[in-house]
Amino acid sequence: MDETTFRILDTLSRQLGRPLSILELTRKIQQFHHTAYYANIYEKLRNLAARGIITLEKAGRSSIAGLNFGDYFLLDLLTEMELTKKRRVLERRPELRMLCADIDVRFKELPFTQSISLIRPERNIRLNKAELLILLQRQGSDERCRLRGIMETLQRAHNIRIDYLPLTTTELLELLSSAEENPLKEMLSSSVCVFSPQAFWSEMLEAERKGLRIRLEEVGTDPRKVPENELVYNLARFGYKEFGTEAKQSREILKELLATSLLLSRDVRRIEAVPVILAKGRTRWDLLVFLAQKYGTAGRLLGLLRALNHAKPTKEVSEAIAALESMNVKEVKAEEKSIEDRLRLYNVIG
Amino acid sequence: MEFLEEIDKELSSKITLVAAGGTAMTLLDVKPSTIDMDFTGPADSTRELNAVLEILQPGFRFDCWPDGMVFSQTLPDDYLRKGIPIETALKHIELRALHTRYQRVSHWKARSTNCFASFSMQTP
Repeated sequence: MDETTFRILDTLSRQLGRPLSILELTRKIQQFHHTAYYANIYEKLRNLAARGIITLEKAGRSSIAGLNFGDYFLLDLLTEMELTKKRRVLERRPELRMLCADIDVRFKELPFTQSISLIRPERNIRLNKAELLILLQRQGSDERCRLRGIMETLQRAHNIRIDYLPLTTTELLELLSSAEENPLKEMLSSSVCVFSPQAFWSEMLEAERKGLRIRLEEVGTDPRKVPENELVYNLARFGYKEFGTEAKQSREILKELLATSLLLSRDVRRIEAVPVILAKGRTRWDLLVFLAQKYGTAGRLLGLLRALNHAKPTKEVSEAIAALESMNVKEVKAEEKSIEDRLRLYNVIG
Repeated sequence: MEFLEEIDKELSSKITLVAAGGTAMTLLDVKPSTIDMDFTGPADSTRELNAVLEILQPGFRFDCWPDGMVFSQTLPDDYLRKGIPIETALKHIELRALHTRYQRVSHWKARSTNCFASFSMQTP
């Protein structure tokens, strides 16, 4: 694959759901790859469009470039692009090579693993850590247990911190096409698929062909910087209305990201809202645990989940507690009585 | 020390850090590497650093003591002035390494770094 094609496919795949004009595409390539020449990119785009890999649609005086999800060869080209990305990262960061080789060996034996991506690999390895997105075909207690065991072994063997997020493909696609702000959109914009890239892109392309609107974001929502009005609005969305505040229409934030934001706030009143919103409606517990690890709030979360489980025991909360315990998280004890009162006040328990 | 570059990106104001122990020796090219990071510095600098470490959640052990408190010892008042400046391209971190007169080197470490003659424990 020539360098220009690689850069075009890499940039367009990072900007899924946000078609770019040729000029915008050139600027983005410059940003990601440090050099970009409009003339070369224009010429290559015309070539790729003629082959059916890219679509070029007129919008006023500009042409908007996008991936042609209906093209049979796109899957192979995206796989090739992903393998090139992987090779380049591992050449620049040889310390990741051993980890990737070990991942290959251990996950080959797990038939329920779809693909594995490293998130921001170069930035994270400088901090001696790795963030993994592990896509699974199915996820039950057995799979979670086996995954946990492998992650513990990898961390010990390579003396590296690993924050991992296991999701089924369905869950991932749901998050990527959701209107709610969520971290997956930004994570995938800066990821390298190191295990089964063809399987990864096959799912993404299939989803697009079925009409699912996947949208990636370059910059994610920092849970430390969610404005007060958005916290109030989203708390109300998830059944936690605060008296004396007005919940004006605002940006919608994923529940698990909201919970992380509250845990980071260190406001006791708001922290005690976390078990209430988690107990209401559906919660993506694996994502919650992953965010708690990533942002250093796992200890506080563990304390709150124990209090929640004490008041209203459920299998999902017990499993989330088990996951946190397996990571040797130091619990920050929560006020059980206070949490119970809060749960009663908001009709979680009778 | 690439991790310092990542820390530097998150800082909004200038801080002063003085590397101690194995970290200092690595920066001074006495040791090839270190397992964990040991720093001291003015209290407001160490406070800023700890806040950034909370954000970054690194995968190695990072000990940062305020105002010259290192490994349960208090360094003399001139530890900062006498710290050896380390040239870097960092925008927000003034980096120094603890002067050798304040370094205590275990016998094992000294043998492995072949510097037993150069370093000795000196009580201020």
